[in-house]
Amino acid sequence: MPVGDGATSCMLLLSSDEPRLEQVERQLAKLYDVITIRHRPDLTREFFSRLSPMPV
Amino acid sequence: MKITGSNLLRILLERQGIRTIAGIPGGAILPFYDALHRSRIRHILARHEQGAGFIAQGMARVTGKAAVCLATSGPGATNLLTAIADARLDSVPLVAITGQVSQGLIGTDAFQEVDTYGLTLPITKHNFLVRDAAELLETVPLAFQLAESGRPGPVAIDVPKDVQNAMVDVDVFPEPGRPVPAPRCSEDLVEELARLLVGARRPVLYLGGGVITSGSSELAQTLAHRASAPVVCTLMALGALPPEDPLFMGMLGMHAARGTNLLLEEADLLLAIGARFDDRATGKVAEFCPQAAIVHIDIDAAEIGKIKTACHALVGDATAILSRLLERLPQQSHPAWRARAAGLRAAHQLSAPARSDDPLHPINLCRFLGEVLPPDTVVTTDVGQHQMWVAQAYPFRRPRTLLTSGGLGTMGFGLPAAIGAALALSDAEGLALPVRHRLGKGGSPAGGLAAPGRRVVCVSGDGSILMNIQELATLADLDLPVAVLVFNNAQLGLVRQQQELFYSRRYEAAHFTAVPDFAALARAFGIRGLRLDPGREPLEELSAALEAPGPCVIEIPIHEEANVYPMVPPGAANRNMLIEPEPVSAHA
Repeated sequence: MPVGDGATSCMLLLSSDEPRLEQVERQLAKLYDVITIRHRPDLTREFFSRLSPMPV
Repeated sequence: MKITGSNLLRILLERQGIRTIAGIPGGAILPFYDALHRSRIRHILARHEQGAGFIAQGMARVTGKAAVCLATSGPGATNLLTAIADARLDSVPLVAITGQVSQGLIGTDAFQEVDTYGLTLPITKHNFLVRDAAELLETVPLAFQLAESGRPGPVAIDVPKDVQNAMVDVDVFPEPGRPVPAPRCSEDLVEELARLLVGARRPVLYLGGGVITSGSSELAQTLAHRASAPVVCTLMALGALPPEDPLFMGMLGMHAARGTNLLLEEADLLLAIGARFDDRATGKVAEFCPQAAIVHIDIDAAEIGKIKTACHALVGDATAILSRLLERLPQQSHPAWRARAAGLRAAHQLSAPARSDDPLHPINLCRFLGEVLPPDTVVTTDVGQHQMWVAQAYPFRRPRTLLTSGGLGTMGFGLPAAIGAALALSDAEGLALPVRHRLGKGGSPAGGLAAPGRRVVCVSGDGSILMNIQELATLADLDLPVAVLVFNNAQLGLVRQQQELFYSRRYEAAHFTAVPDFAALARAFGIRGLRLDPGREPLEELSAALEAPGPCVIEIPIHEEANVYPMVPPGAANRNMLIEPEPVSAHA
């Protein structure tokens, strides 16, 4: 979703909490157009369910 | 000033210092080719876009600077993909520019339309789809900055045809893109590294391609002697230390000398510099260096702990870190450990029959090449058995003299990469460089690029060379001093070897029924070609062929069943090496 004037955007990813997640984050963090990565453990499955018409 | 997008792109590349571009034109990139017509940039017309990509890689690998390849939309772009992915795996700075159908046609399955942006997304450091000609002012310098900064890699720029044709108002041109210096790691981390090295009793340096990229080969050699640490190299790091150095233990891993892998079993500290713990190097990771604490220096933070957990890690440029480390590290002395390394090295030499008995045994051939070629000769390889024989037996003495497809393992790399290397060397030496290469009316070079220059040698196999054989036509155009050595065993040798060793000799699709006459094939392209005869002083003939000027193809018959030994079975621990059962000495 766009942030502010739309020059940047925010992407929410629902992922499994696996050991390899840390490496996935490191790979993402080095991409030029990734500004920051934050964990959002406060966002539950229900939150994502409400975002999508498809069940997750 | 109002100019077209294509002229803006051309000017930005010229300002970037680009002197040579390899590519193939097509409809969607024709506006840019029209702009090139007025440029001092020399265009090298490859015969396949993958060849253009690898020609650019050859230039980039020799110079360390980003090189440019060019293709049209659709098949032009998809043909580039392998060369781009190869650059990604081997951290080669490359800027790939592709034409795209006009924006109004994107998404309509237009002629020669493919989603180049989507296809290049996972194989580049970054990629751009230019939506407006004015974006080029930011995109082009940024592409070069990204390609050359930190861990180098490929960047793709997809430019729709309407963007190339659009008029844009330019008042000021941006500064060319330059690599951004890597962040400096803390003093504490360097201090701790020095302390760990002082505490180690059996240290080993494990050098990767990052040492070559960062230009820290000499520092790594100094560090090895200061720390009294034997040195192992990945395929990509060969040339960082000369083989005459008493601490040099050669390549580690699947096709290492047995003593090299055994030494790693005993190490108590492994200092990895610019290496990524590739599976060909480590074998079974859980059993790699079982006694060693791992210390890792890398410019890419994502490499730290990716494969092997490091007890201490430093993220940054190897040259900067090693310089600071050497300021702190006192001279270490491990005579017993050095003697152990020397003993292992002496006890596990490569196995090969006497040269007089079998001059065309691949190991003997590679050693002979090492004797007759100057130490600064650039050697490219394709992929397969010949690649490993070269890595094992050719004495690389200088950085950036081995160009090989390490990560992706792309057959077909060697010939176009050699052309690119020869172009870069001729550029560097200022040899016979016309403004642009043009063909005369009869198709012959007019004011061609022919130059004596440094000999570049491409060692290939009969399987690999056919993957990009069409680039012999490009080589003939340019008349560059590239010698192509085709080790011909009428096999996909490494496939046959694995089927022999691990699939109970159930050979499937490894043998070629029809094998071309490579010498005649070379002549058909207008290039000198010869086939060595094992019974008629073949090494003298080889030497004479290499000394003669200009391009040539030298076909060398080798034994069909010669294998690369030692070999660690895929997935096994490095200590479990298969050793050659008995010498192979006959010829095909």
